[in-house]
Amino acid sequence: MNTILICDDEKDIVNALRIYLEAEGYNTVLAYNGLEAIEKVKENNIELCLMDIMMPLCDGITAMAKIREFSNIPIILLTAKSENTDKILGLNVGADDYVTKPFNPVELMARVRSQLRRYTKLGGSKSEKSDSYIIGNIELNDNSKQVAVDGEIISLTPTEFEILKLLMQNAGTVLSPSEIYRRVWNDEAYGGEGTVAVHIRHIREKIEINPAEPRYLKVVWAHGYKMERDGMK
Amino acid sequence: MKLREVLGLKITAVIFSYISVLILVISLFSVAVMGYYKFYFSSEKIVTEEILTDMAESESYYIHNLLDEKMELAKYYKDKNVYFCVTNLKTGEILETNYKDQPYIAEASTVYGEYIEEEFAREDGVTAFRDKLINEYQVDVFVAKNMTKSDLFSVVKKIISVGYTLRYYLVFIALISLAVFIFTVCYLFCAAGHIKFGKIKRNFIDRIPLDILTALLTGIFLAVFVIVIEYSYNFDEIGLAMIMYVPCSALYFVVLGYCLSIATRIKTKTLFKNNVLYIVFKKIMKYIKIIWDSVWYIFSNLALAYKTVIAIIAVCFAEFLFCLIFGLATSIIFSEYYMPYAVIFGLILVNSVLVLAVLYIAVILQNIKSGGERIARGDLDYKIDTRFMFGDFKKFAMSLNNINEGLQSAINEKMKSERFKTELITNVSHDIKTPLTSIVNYVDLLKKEKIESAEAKKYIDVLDRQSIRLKKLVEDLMDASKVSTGNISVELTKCDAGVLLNQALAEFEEKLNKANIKTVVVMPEQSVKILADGRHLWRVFDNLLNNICKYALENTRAYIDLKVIDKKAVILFRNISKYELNVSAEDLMERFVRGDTSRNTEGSGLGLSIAKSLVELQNGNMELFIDGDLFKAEITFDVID
Repeated sequence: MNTILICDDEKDIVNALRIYLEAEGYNTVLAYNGLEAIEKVKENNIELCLMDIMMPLCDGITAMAKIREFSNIPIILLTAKSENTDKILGLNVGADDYVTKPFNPVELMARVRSQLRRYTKLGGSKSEKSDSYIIGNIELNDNSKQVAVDGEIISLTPTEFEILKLLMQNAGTVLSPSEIYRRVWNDEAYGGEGTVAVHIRHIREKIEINPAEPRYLKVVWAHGYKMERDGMK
Repeated sequence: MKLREVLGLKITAVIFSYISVLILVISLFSVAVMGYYKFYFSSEKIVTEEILTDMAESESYYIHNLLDEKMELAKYYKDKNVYFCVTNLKTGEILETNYKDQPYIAEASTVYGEYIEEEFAREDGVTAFRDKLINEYQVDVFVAKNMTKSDLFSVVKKIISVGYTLRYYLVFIALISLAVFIFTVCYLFCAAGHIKFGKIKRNFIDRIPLDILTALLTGIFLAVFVIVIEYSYNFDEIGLAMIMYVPCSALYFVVLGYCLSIATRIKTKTLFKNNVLYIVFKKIMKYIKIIWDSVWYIFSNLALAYKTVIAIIAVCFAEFLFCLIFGLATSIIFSEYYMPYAVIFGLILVNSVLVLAVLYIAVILQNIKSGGERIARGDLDYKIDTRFMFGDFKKFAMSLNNINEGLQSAINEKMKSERFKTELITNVSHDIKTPLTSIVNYVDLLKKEKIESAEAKKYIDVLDRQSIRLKKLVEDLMDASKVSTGNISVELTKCDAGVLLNQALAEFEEKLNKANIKTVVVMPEQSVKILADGRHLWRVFDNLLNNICKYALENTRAYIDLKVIDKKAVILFRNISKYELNVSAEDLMERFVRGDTSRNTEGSGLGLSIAKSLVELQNGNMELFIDGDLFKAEITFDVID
């Protein structure tokens, strides 16, 4: 199975994460500061890294930057900071995902799974078909009318499928509810925007690990919705 | 101990200087006399002859006098080195003599007689009178070559021979005594005022005001010399010299002391200060200054308008005076004809000076104005240059600069405390969240363990529920502190309030259904644009809708309206409370105040407080109203086009 590095200065948290990850069947390597983490990544065949930000000796951001010099393994940041600037900084330096403390173990496991699947299985194994759209771990096939998240087929209603398709076709662009309505229902909205919002929430519940903090289908509050171009990155 | 501090040495120096002056005067006098008698140009013989001839001449006059008094000449000249021969010139008869062809070195012959008045006819025939010598006789005086007796002649001859030998030494002595004098006086000047331990101190005399001292000494000496000169005819040359010697020596000491006193005064910097005139002048100046200061005080404390009036009057008066003087001067020096031209020229001159002054003031005002504008624009580093300003302008510019400094320090202070707050929040957040993470994780792990006891399972459920609640509470607390301290970035963009409301309602659809609350939404057909930060406004709606889910009575309707009233977007949330609302609307908005006094539902009591702070950060307004069980929240924003 995959080997995962857990790095946090709080031993109890490292231990809890180890229990969760080993219960899922992963091998674990433990580190208690940034310098140790860099060493462990060099020494072992690590495939994913869980990293705290605020640590003694060498903080998580610095350690991550160092690791990025020689490795492109997925790194998930564990952070007590919830300021947006910290999130952006982490992602710019090269984090693949982040969870804020105190995190939900189930959600963290789902994110670990998702990142590992991307890291180990992605790489052009699935051919680019003209009628299929791939964003991150989401694959939408227009022919078979199927959507797969992390390789698992999920069931969407026809309206939800159309909305998702529209958003994936326009990845990176903010679409307003009335525009989505017009293009999916082929009709003027006349107060139907509320319906769009509800549908989108349903889609998020099906494709996102944590619908309140979506990775793919982002709510741009007061403007509309947008599909990220490539997941977290 | 330094040399200049030894009292004995000083006294010695004074004495030496006195002696050297004395020797100097005597030797110089001697040299002068010898120079007069050509000691340095002729042989001793000639000099002796000349002097003795002079003496013989005066001796002959003396003999002539003695003849008149019918004294016995032979008896008188028995003990002298002089021979005489008196011959009647008419008869050739020798009247009296003791000369018997003895050898002589100097000789003088003079003719004496009786003068009578004689009548005679002048060439023009007028009869006049003239003196005529009758009974003429000749007095021959011979100075003996071998002076066997001691008298004035032998003494003079000896002095001449000694003086001739010493004639060059005396010059030398004069020079040496001059050197000694200069040296001792220099030493005394250096040492003046120096007492022990390197201190310079004034003595009794140095404390007397200089002008008084000078006047006193001058007066005393003038008196003494007047008295001396008054009685001088009673004495011969030597007697006079003897008498003059005492006051002259005293004068020397006094002048020396006076000069030394001046030296001390210069050293102690009291030369000018220690004068009665100076003290009096200073006193007068002090009173003048007091008067001037009080006048200036009155002037400077006058209102600007009065100052201006006085300044204008002063300027007019000065102008008038200047022109008057200028014109009068012209008419006196040149001609009255030029007077009007002179007055006009004077006016032009004065007014050009005035124009320059006004321009100067205008430039100052311009500087103050532009400086004030820069400060108002927030350029806190700017300082108005007050170097070339004066009076009220300078004061004004300086107070502007002070305002700037005050603002600057206030801003620095504020920025410092803001940074401190941000850091505190970040660190506290980290320190609380780390143990909380462990709690949440281990409770979760406990849940997964196989536990037999049903009670234990119940307890774990409580732990689970409460830890999640704690987590929510901590997050709310962090948000509340961030929002209330303004430690949150707000990016105001053009937002569609209707879209946001729809999005928020969609998020809450399920939750509201679960709570059995029906929503009635009323919003206008056209979109309502407001200036807000979508993320923060969502948080506000999130909190308000959460409140509805938690505190609205089941099976009732919640009314949510979006209206535009007077260019204002009003968003209304209304619902019927589940609990009796016995708190005021203001209290509800306070932190940690909740609608249920028993506090048995989940919630931190921070939601409304955070919502209000967030709305205000986006320049909106939020108000709560309670009417019985009706709870109403009203958010207002300005509508933008």
